[in-house]
Amino acid sequence: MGAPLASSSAAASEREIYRDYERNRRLQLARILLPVLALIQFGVVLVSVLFLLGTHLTAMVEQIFTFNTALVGVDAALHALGMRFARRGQVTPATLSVIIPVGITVVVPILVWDLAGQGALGATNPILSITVGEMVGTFVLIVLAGLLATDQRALVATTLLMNVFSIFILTSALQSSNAGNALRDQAFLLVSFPVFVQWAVAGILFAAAGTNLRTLRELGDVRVAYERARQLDQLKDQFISHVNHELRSPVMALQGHVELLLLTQDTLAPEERHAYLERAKRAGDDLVALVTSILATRTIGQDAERVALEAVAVVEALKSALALVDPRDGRQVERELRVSIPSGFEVWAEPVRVRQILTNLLSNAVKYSPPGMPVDVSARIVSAEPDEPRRRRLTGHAAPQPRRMAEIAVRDYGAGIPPDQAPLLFNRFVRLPRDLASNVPGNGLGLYLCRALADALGGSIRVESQGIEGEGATFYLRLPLPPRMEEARAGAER
Amino acid sequence: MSTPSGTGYTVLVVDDNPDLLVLVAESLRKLGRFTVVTAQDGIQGLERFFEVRPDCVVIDVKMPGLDGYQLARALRGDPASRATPLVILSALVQERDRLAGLLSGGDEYLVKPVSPLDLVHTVTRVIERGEEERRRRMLMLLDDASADPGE
Repeated sequence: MGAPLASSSAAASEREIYRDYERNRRLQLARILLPVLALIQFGVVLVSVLFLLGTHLTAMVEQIFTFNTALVGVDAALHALGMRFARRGQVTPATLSVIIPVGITVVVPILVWDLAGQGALGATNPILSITVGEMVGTFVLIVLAGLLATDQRALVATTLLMNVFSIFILTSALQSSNAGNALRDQAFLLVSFPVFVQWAVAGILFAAAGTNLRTLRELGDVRVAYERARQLDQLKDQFISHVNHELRSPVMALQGHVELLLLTQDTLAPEERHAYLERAKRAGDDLVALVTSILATRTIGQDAERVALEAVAVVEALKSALALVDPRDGRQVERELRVSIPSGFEVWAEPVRVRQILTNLLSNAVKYSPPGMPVDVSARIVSAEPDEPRRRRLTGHAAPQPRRMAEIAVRDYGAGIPPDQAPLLFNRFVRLPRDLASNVPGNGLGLYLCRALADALGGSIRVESQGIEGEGATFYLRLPLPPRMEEARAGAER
Repeated sequence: MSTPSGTGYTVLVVDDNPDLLVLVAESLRKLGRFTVVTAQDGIQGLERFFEVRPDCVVIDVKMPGLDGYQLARALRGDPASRATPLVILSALVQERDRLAGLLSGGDEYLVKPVSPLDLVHTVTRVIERGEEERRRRMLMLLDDASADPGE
C-alpha cells in the first residue's frame, strides 16, 4: 500500500478546515434552532390540550385555534420532510425527531375530534381563522425553514409542498362540512389566499435567507482565511527559527575563518592561509545556496506564468541534473545510479525546470540513504488519472485532458518516510522530525520547489514509502508527454 | 585531573559540522595555545573524553546520535567527568534552549556565531574558574534563566 497522494495535501487540508468549519456552523445553527422549534411545538401542544379540554375559552376561539394547531403541526412535519428531500443533510435527524412526532401528536387527536363533528370546520365563520392561522403558521415555519435552508431551491420546494397541503386541506374542508358549503361562494379566495401568502413570505425569505447565507458564508471565508493565516504564521515562525539556525553555522564559519586569518596571518604558512580562505568561501557558498532557495520559493509562483514548453529528453535532463548534485550531499562516496529509461523518452516541459526537479530528487536520494547505496531512476508511460492537473496555469484555460503521462521514478534505499508524515513533506519549510535532529543539511524547501515546479509544468509529484529502514522511498514525477508522443499513442490504439 | 599539557590545557571539541570543527579547533590551538582533540559526534566525544581526560569540552548541540545535551548529561553523570567544565555551542537562540543547555550541565552557553577570540576567552575562563565559583555561578545562571523564561 502506498503513501497517500502527497501533492494535493495543502489543498486537502484547506478543504478539511472548510468542511470542519461548515459542520461546526451547522451544528451551532441546529443547536439554536432546535430549542426554538421544540418550544413552538410544545406551545402548540399545550394550547391544543387546553382547548381540547374546552374549559377556558369560548367555543369560537377554541375552534379557530384547534384548526390552526392542526395546520401548524402538519405544516411542520411537511416542511421538515420537504427540506429533507430538497436538501439532504440540511435538516438534521434531531430536528426531524422533534418535528414529526409532535406534528403527529397534534394532528391525530384534532382530526379525530373533527371527524366526531365538533371540530373547527363546524365554525360559523372560519374564513378569518383559516387564513390568519394559515398565514401565521406558514410564516413561522418558513422562517425556520429559511434559516435551515442553505439555498433557494430548498425554499421553492418547501413552499410548493405547503401550497399543495393548503389547497388540499382547504378544498376538502369546503367540500365536507356544512360551514364549508355555506362558504362555497368565496372558495377561490379561501383557497388561493394562503397560497399567495405563502409565496409572498417565501419571496421575502429568498432575500432574507440569501443575505443570511451570504453573511454566514462570508464569515466562514473570514474564519477559513484566519485559520490559513494562523497556520501560515506558525509555518513562518517555524521557518524563521529554522533559517535562523541554518544561517548561524555558515555565518560563524565564514566570520570565524576570516577573523582567525586576520589574527594569525603572520604566523600562518601560505597553504594554511589558503585553507582558511577556502573554508570561508565554502561557508559563503552555503549561505548563498540557502538564500537562493528561499528566494526561489518566493518567485516560483510568478515564474509559473512564463514557461515555454518543449520536448525534453529525460536522459539528457538526468545527466545535467547529476552534474548539479552537490558531491557533499552524497558524503563524497561513489554510488551506483541504476537508470532504466527507454531511449528517446521525452516529456513536454521546460528543460531547466525538469533539471531542477531531478536535481532536488537525486540530491535527496543521496542525502537520505546510507553512503554506497544505489539510487534507481526509471521512466515509463502511464495512463493519466482522472484528476490529473491540467496545464491550467500555462494557458489560462484547461487544456484537453491528457490520456497518458510520463512518469519518472527516483528511488533510494534509505530510511524511508513514515507514511503519516509523507503528505507534509511537500509543504514549504517542512522537514521530518528525524531529519531536523540529524546532521543532514536541508532547509525544507527542496520538495516544496519540486511540487510547485511540477504543478507549473502541468504535472504532479508524489511519494510512496512504507517508512521501513532500507526500503527507502520512491518519488514519482508525472509530466505531460510531447504532443506527438501523445498522438502517436492515441493513433496506435485506434 | 586538570593536567596542563604543553603551554596550555587540553580541550575536547565535539561538532558534526567539519568546517566548524576545524574553525573551533584552530582557534583554540592558535589563539589559546590549547592542545585540542576533536570528535565528530556525541558517542565519539564520550570515547575521546575518557581517552584524553581534557580540561574542558566544547560541545555543539545538534549532532546525530548522542546530541550535545545528552553528551553533557552523560559527562555530568559520571564521577570521573563531573567536574570538567563544559561549554555548549549552539545555534538555538531561545531562552528555553539556553535553559536546557545549562540544565544539562553546561557551564557556558554560547550562541553561534561566536568569534574565535570570544571562544578562547570563554574556554580559558571556565577552566580557570574554581570549583566553588563554578557551582555558585551555575546556581546564579539557573536563577536568571528560570526567572525569565523569555516566552
